[in-house]
Amino acid sequence: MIPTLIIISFITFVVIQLPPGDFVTSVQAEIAATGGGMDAATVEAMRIRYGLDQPKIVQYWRWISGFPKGDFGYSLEWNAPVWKVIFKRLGWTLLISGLALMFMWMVSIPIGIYSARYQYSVADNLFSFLGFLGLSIPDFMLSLIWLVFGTLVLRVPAYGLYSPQMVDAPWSWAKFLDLLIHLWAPVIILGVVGTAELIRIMRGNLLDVLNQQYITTARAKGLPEDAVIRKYAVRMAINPLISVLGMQIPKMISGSIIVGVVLSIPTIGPIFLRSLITQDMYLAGAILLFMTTLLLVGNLLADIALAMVDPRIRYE
Amino acid sequence: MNTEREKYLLKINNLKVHFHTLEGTVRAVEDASLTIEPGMTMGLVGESGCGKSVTAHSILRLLPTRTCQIKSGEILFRRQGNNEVIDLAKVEPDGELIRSIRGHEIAMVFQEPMTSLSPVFTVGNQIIEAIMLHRRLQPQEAREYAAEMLKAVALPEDVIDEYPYRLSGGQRQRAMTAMALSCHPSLLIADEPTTALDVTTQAQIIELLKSLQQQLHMAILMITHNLGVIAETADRVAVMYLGRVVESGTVKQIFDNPLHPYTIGLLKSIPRMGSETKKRLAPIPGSVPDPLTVIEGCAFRLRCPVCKQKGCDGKDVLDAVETEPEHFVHCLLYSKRAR
Repeated sequence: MIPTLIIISFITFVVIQLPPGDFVTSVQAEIAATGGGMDAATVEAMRIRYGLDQPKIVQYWRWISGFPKGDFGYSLEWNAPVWKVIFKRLGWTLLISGLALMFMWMVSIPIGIYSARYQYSVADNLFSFLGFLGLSIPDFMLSLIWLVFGTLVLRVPAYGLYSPQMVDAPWSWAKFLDLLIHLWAPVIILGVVGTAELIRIMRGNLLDVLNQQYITTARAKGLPEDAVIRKYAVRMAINPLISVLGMQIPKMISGSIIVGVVLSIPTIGPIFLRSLITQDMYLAGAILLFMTTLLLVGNLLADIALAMVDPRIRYE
Repeated sequence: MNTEREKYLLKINNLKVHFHTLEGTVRAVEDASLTIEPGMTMGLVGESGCGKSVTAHSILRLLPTRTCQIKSGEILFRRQGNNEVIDLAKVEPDGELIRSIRGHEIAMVFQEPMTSLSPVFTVGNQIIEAIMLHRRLQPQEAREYAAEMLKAVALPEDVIDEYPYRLSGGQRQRAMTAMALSCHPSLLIADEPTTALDVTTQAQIIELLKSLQQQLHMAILMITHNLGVIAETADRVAVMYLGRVVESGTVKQIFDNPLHPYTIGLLKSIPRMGSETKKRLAPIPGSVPDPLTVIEGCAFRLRCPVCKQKGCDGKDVLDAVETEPEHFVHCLLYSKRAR
């Protein structure tokens, strides 16, 4: 994992450097856009101060050599260490993505089981229809729909994490409730596509498994149908879902960026977008790096979980 | 002889099972009748797709309820203990009653030992589960009992904590047998138990089944397309073709004096020891018709070498003719002779 991370950090750095110009040019452009101007000496002074005059490889080394000490660089725009800028937002991202994952599993598995057991029933067809609908609506669209629908029709707060009067209030039960009211919509929006996918996968797996010989064996023992499904069918059908979990994590992370931007939730999303626009390279690079780390860790956890539930997979 | 015949364990009368598929109705079993007496082995032979397995699965009502229907006929089974006779064709397919019979009074061993045990539970777990379902035992007692059963099928005791994927095909079939016999069923349905195994292992499994049959005094319904297995194990034989039992009798009658043209063809198509080596085997001409076609009268008449065009498509060929005691054949050749 460590070599992978080093390679990724390098690629990340290269990708961040690809757009023409640097942070100073983007500052220049912004100032010029508001009618101001900077003389060449100031620009050069800024470059030297931020170390942007150094060769790229030196900049890269300066950046990564801080990692072991927990120093992920300095955000040029926020004038603060990167870690300080993203720490809290990373937490929100993890929370919302994690809740969305839980939502997906809790909703899709029962529906998938039901759909497979009562294949082609009215409810199965309805779930299939809703599933395809969920699959085909992108999350930014859902966020926008929710924004309009929630604000204009339901008249509930459809964006942000807290109501305005709660933002600076100290933690209390009321603030927590307020948070929950704001949190469920982004979680569901983030989870919809994945839920629809998992329903299809679970249904397909289970239909597959139900045709297996050991299911007939279990029935021939005299086990009640519910026990056959629970012990023998679902147990096998869930394994591929765990492998899918690893693939779902990057989708959750990129999804949380989009949903975060649209619904102005302080996930890492809005700040990431901003850092890319202003070419705040250490911040953007660190965010990318954190996300790939999350992805790697998530995949590792999924692999470990799979090895735990399936005796056929044991890493020696 | 007649009083003996009344003491049947399982009696299938004119069973008819249809599958409803998108392409149409598949008449998997059109007319099957069988009688199994306690402690004896009934061999059920026929080509692939002739309805052997469907007949077997109907006994335990294991067929998919959504597509499959028992159209008519009865499956009479005499229960252990009180000798009460119930018609399995009429019970709820997932009801309490059939579940108390499955694995307890009628057990089943399947064709593919590689897939008939769940790969994610240990062998012991799956056997103990079967025992606990039907017997009032403490988990520890059930475990000891499962170990005993594994010993009875000549498996090492530590197999109890192994996962099925660590066992060979023959070992798995032994484990399956241990599981099936763990509740002392009065009938064991062996659905092609040796087909997927190599010849040496086949012989071992057959030997095992025969010795356990004597110990436990159970009847076996041996389903196979391997006539050698039948000759070795069965007391009586029923030959099936396209969902119909076309001939039935004792092993000796069927092998020494086959009457139905299909049975004769079937026996001719297997190689025999000591016969002239240059001689080619005689396959049955033609192939099994599409399962969707409806054939009136004798199902075999399309491939039959002696078919008399007149009459073979009539209804009366369906009636069994008893040419000698216990030897029944469904063929016009003999019904005319009998008349």
